[in-house]
Formats: sequence, C-alpha cells, structure tokens
Amino acid sequence: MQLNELLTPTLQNHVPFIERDLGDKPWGLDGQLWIAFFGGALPATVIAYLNSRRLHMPWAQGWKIIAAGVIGFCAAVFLATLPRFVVLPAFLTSSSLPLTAAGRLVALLVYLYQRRLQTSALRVYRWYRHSDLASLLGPGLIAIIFLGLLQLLLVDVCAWLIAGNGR
Amino acid sequence: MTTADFAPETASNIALARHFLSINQPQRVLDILSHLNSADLENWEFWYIRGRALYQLDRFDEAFNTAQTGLSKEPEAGPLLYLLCNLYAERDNLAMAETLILKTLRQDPENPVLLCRYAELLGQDNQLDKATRLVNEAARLAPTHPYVAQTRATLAYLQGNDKMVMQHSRKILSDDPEDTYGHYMLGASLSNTGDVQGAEQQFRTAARLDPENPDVTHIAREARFQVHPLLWPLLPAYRLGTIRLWIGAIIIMVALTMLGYSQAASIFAWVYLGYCVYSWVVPPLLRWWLSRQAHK
Repeated sequence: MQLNELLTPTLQNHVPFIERDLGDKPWGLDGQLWIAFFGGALPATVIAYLNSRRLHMPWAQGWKIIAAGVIGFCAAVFLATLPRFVVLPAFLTSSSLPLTAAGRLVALLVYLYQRRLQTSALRVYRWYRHSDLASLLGPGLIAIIFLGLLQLLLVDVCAWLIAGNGR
Repeated sequence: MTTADFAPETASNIALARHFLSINQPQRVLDILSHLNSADLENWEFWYIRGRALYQLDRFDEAFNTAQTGLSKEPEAGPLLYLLCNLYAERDNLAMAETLILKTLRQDPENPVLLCRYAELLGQDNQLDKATRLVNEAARLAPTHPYVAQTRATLAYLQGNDKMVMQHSRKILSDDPEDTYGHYMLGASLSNTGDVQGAEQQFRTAARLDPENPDVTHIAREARFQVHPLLWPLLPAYRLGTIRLWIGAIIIMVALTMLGYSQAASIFAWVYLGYCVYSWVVPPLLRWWLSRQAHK
C-alpha cells in the first residue's frame, strides 16, 4: 500500500469516549469463563455479544461471537442425542460425567474463541481509558441461572425432536 | 526549531527551558518561562515549550489553550500542531487529532515519529491493521528509531500478542537498558503470561527510573501485591492460566472416574474446589487488609 493511501483519514467517525454512554462499561474476560463453564454456550454467547457492543466492536466481530455460540449450542445438542443413535463404549455411558464433561469442554472452546475476539478491543479500552471494568457478578449469575436453564431445556427439546424423527 | 528569533539573553533561557523539557522537569521550564519579557510572547516557540511543559504536568486544559494561542501566532507551526494533536488524543477526540497529524504529515511525510504517532491514534480506535502498516512504513524509513520499537510494542500489546510485546520490549532494552517504557511493556507482557514475579521486577525497575510517573508507580505497587507470600500458592495458577487449569482439572477428574477411581476423583474435586475458593477469597481480602494497614 502506498504511503498516500495510508495517510487517508479513517478516524473522522470516531465517537469520543466522553460522548458515549458511560454507564456501559465493558466486562472482563476471565469472568466469562465461569459463565461458559457453569451455564454453557448460550449464556456465554449472550454475555460476550453484549460485551462486544459495550466495547464498540465492529458488527462482523459480533456476528462471529454469535456464530461460535450457535456452533457450541449445536454441539451440545449433538452430544445430548449421541447416546440415542450410537452405541457408545461402556466407560462412556457408565456415568453421565464423560458426556457432561464433553459439554463443558465445548462451552470452554466457544469461550476461548469469543475471548480471542474480544481481547484486542478490551486491551484498547483499558490502555486508553485507564478505567475499571464493570462487575460481571450479577449479570453472570443471572445468565448462568436463567440462560443456563434455558439452554438445558432447549438442548433437551432439540434432542427429543431429533431423536423422535430418528425413530 | 531554532531560538534565533529571540534576543540573546532570552535565547539562552529558551535553550535552558528546552533542556529541562528534555529531562522531564516541566515545572522548572514554567519557572524559566515566567521570567521572559512580554515581547517574547509573540514567538510561537515560547508557547510551544510552555504547552509541552503543561502537557507533561498533565495540565491538559491549560496546555490546550497555550497551544491554541501559539497557533494564532503561527498557524502552520508543526510542533504546535503535533502538541495540539496529542491534546485532542488525550480527550479521545481522534477526528481532530487525525486532522492535525495529517496536516503535520503533509509538511513532513517521511517523519517516522509522526507516522508512529498516527499509528498510535489508529490503535486507539482499534484500527490495528492500518496502524501496523504505518509502523512498517516508519520502520522502513528509520529502522533503528526507538519510537518505532515502542510503537510496535504498543500495537502488539493492543493486538493481544504478548510474545511480540516481549520481543519488542527486549529489543528496546537492549538498545537502552534504562528505557522506562521498555521495562513497563515487558512487565505488562510478563504479567499477561502469568510470570508475576518477572513482571514485578520489571515494574519495580520502571518505577525506579521514572518515580514521577503515577501510572508506573501505581502498576509497580499493584505488582508488588501480586507477589505477596499469601498469594504464592496461586503462582502456578497464574503461570498456567485459568483456562488451562480448568481444562486440566476436568480431564483429571474424568480420567480418574473412567479408570474406576471415583473416590480419588471426588477427593481431587474437593481439593481443587478449595484451591479455587482460595483464589477467589484471599486476594480481595488481602487487598482490603493491606489498604487498611496503609491508611493506619
């Protein structure tokens, strides 16, 4: 790229922090781990997406966060239906732990990807704002309890529908 | 910039003021400038030096008015435009900052400092690709310029690439072991990768080199807290990272269960939970206790 092209203005639409809604401080990334672990992909995605708006990330990044959440949710449905279609080895079906753990790992992978998307925007925010982050305790608990339960319900309904059609 | 437009006695004072500016003694700059004649106030360089000193003292509103007064004397003065650009950037008014930096770049398009500063402004708006290309251009023009390495370190940090931050910071420190920014950035990247002890050393050195900088002294204090003996049990967790720790714990629990050691799995789960509770409870309690001690 020529130097002249690089010297074309691209900051003219920047909205100064002072003119933005200061009530919308972003959340940290570490706290989102617990939401993914205890709640699953759905609550983690909702929180990550809301955070992307608070960080004023481009829409494309927001869509990537949603896409990761949808993939994570589909993986959870897949894991829930797996025992109904495939005869799994005994050590996998002797307790619910292996499949539960697999579901948690899927949610953590979704979290890892969503974290990667938010990292840069959050660092820019912290570097230039020198500002504290919003607490994720309240929204996180609400997300885990309500959206986590919603995810359990939706996964069961989807698994039931798929298994019903499979018979 | 020259001091040729000043009377000889004033010129020596201006030279002294510029010297104090370069060694980060802004208050002495203001003291020297306060003794100048009213005739000197017509020279834009006076306003530039005064504005820079106020900027270094974080008196941004006064610096802003000073720079604007200087520009009313000489609207095309590059250093004043650059100063005003930095002041707008401080207010996060990047549109105005960009307009001003581009104006100075039109005067001197191959100036690596201006290119790097523009890259930093873009970084402030998360336009990291364009910022990186600008720094590459600056590096092509002045490969060994210290500001190029500093800007590379900053952008790598904003991109979340801590390995690159370490690489650039070490390069800065190999050129100048007393560079505060190099120690600060190396400390920040070490902290992000879980090496809190290494980070504490770097921040401590940065604070020793620049004791007047509130950001550096604050982070050095914070880093000292992280290596408190009560937090030593958490050092492996910092080093490993939360996500790796949790995935490792899940794998161990599942493996023990699947191998038939259910009791060992539940003991491990309880021990691990205790460790997690320790990591959640002890740091805030310690912080509260230490701040209470400090206020006594």
